[in-house]
Amino acid sequence: MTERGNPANRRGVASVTVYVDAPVLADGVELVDTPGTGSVFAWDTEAAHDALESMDAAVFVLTADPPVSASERDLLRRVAGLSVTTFVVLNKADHLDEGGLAEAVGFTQRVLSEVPGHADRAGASGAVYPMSARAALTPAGDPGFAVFAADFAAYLKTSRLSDLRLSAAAQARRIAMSLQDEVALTRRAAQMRAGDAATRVEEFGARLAEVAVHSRDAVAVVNAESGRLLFALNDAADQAVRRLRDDAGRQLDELSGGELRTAPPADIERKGHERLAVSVLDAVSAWRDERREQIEQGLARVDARLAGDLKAELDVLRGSAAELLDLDLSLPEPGGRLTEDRAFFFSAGEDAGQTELLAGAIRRSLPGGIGRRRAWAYLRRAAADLVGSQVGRARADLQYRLAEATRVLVRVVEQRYTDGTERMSAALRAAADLRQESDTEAGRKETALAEREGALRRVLSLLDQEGACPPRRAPG
Amino acid sequence: MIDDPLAVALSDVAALGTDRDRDQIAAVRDRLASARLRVLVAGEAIRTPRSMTW
Repeated sequence: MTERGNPANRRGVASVTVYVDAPVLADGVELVDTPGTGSVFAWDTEAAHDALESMDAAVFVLTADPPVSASERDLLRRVAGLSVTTFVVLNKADHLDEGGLAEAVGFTQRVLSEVPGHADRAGASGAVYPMSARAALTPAGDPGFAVFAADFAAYLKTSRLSDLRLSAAAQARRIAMSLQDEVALTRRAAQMRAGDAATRVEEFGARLAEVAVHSRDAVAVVNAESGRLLFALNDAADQAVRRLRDDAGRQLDELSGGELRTAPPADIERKGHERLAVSVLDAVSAWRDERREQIEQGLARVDARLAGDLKAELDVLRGSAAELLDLDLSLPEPGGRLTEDRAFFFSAGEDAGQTELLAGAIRRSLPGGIGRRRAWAYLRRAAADLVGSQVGRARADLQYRLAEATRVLVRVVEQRYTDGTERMSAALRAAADLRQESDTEAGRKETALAEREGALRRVLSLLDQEGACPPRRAPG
Repeated sequence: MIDDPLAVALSDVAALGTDRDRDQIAAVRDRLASARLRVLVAGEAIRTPRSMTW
């Protein structure tokens, strides 16, 4: 699936399943690739959003150079918190010398040791797999990748089924605990119906409502950051056009004074254009990657910050429930969402109109120096146009992707707040309704709630038998 | 299978939960039934070559 074959997902494709004859996949494993939370390759489908919520295990890929960023650390914390086993890969290990790599591995291990629930687990000796994915594709291969592939294959062989059960139990436990919070809050808030007790319920409701207000603030933060990134992108594009036109001019100077000095006009145009196309597209591609990374880092930073803010707010709310209602709520942190990716391509073909076709034919047939001068002049104009059009295309593409990524991030932020608070809001509404009921009806519903709470306790007890335990890191 | 505590727990959570909870539990049951482990690749995945083979 490419942007070229299906521009802007016109065919409405939600997902693509690729069947590969690979031994590692033969025994029942599904690899779900994601570009990361801040990616401008994000595309908005619910199925993709569920990637974090529905995973069992994870392979978290970091780069050795530069080291782990704050937003990556946050994503790692969320991924490792939701997966039963997490393999951590440190790619681009070949970019560092031995000392630098040892430092990067040590740093990553320290980051991992700070992930809650991982420091004291079996096999948590800091299993990090340094490798070069690029080298792994060469005939010589990469020893780091070979170690990872062997360990991953062994893990699937020995632990796939047991981890699948552990993961199923952990997912069921998260749901059951949220439901238990909801029932407990409903019952308690319904019981606290008069005087100081009723005031405390109201105060808790007000604190919960404040979180909903902060959801709107969070959306404003996303839009402000997006605006800042758009401004920086446009500014950078203007600078890139000037710089790349200068570079192209210098390249043409070198060619005209060297390799193509005495070439006939037709060769000057053909070879000169070929060289220009390659160098301009390479340069624009590098510029686009650099800007894409800036945008992704900006969006990932704001996403990580807002996820952290919500977590802190839920911690405060948990404290409020204990303080005001004498309730111990679990309030599991919403999982967050990841999305799938799309592709982008450049077009380097000459867009020649009829006038240029005729003028070109005449220019290329002109004799000696005149023809060469006209050919070089034509190439200089073509270089300026090529730089302008390609940077323009890349800028327009990034603008579109930034707008799309912002839209997705806004939805993610809103949904995360909803996920974090909706059951509590529903509980308070149910309690308010219950307080309005007649004593007989309230008693009947209270009995039903007590039975429901008992049923959830039994479910959690069953899940304890399964060993629904905190996540662990890959054995290393 | 009926005595499997995990199967009983999943069935009970589905009965007690919302539609969205039931969807999640249904996906979990599907994976258990087909013994299919779902492994997420996250982080810098987009910048690694796509054609890596095993």
